[in-house]
Amino acid sequence: MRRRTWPASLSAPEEAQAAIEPQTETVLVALMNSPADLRRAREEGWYRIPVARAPRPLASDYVAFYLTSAFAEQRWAVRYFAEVLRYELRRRLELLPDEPAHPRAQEWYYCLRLGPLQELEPALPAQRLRRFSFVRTTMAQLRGAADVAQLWRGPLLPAFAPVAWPELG
Amino acid sequence: MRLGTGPRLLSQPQLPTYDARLPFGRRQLSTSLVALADLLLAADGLGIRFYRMAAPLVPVMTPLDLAAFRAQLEQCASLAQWLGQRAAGLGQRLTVHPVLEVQLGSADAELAQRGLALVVAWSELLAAMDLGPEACLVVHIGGGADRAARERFARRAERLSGQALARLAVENDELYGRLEDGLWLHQRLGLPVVWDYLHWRCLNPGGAGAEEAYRLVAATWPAGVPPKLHFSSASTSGGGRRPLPRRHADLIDPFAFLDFLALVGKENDIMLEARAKDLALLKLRDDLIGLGCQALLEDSGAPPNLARQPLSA
Repeated sequence: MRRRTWPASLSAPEEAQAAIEPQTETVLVALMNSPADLRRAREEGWYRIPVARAPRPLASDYVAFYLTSAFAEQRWAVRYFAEVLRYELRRRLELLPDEPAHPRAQEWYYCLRLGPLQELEPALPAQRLRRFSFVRTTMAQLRGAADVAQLWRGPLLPAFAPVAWPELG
Repeated sequence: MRLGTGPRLLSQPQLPTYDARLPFGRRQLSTSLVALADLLLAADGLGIRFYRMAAPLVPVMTPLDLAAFRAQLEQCASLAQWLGQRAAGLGQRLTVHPVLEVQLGSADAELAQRGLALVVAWSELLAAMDLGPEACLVVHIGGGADRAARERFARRAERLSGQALARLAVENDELYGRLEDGLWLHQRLGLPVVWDYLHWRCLNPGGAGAEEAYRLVAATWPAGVPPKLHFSSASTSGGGRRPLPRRHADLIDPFAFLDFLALVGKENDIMLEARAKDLALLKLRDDLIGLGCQALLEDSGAPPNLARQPLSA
């Protein structure tokens, strides 16, 4: 047992917790390859990640979107981000009821409920890199990088072991 | 026997243990549950099947936070249930130890009320996760040296629902809360007693023998639920500082641990309270193998073909 007391310099348990567990704002950079999904993020405030292919770790303060070639002149850059307000677990069919015949309709997805979509100013381009799934970084690193490839540098990076949940018998 | 650690896994420093965003209103139970999912997978990868969750994972600091907590729990009910099923599928025993937050024996009524709110919230979360009775909140009596503390604890705990009371377990501490007080609370409320061996060595005014102490503690746990014990080595080496026999050491002394196992057997889950967390657990496993005691680890969650860990180098 650790017998801790609140440091005298801190006025409330809330501040003491922050001192115990210092937090840097983490960002999950995710691939956005569908204008329809970007519209959902902007207008409906959610983004989905299949549980079976979710990155580890997943928990992040923000999610940022790298736009693929599906976005014409906006392609190949991280252009938007949003705060992750909370997570839900939903079957794909619950999230996209208009697609009942989709082969993954019954699969589980993390549904990230998002705050307002914000523009990343300036956008973060990818000069050579074109495809990836997820990168975990910090907001400071995202804002300080000149190229998406630079997001792979830094102390938060080596966390993407491809670990999957075992199926329950 | 499972060996446990947590909340932080020092071998995985990138994994947060809960949503620590500020201000407090930004914190979301669901974010903490996703962080917990990440941690459980990491623990499983290390062969750890007994994990102590972070107390602040539940964002409740006062009774006024309960309503917001319940709304959050409802929003992420499917996530909580799914995570509980996954934890069970991995064979993980989950517990929590809100040391500062829950002090039901305190003379400070407001502090005690905050603790009660946290107990209620945790019990509702554990129920939403469909976790069995082995998932418990381990608390100290609180209240310092005041001999009336255990009576206050009992009176307050009696006001809890059956669901909340069933999740409580009481641990002896090293300064005031004697093992006898825990056993008294078991008699009064039916709470199981977590035996902290180092605390007991520091505070054993009755001078009872260890075998007798363990026998009494083990009998407080319901059938089918392995007793939960705490084991740590004392920080007596100094290292330039004053030796602190009540302070947990970074690592676990394997010889003392073997003596402890000879005393209590393998029918328990043992939470290792070492400052090096999972690194200490891995080092202990490695040491036991090096001492030819691999058979002791058969049911601990360690991989069956466990090789010596590089940490021993």
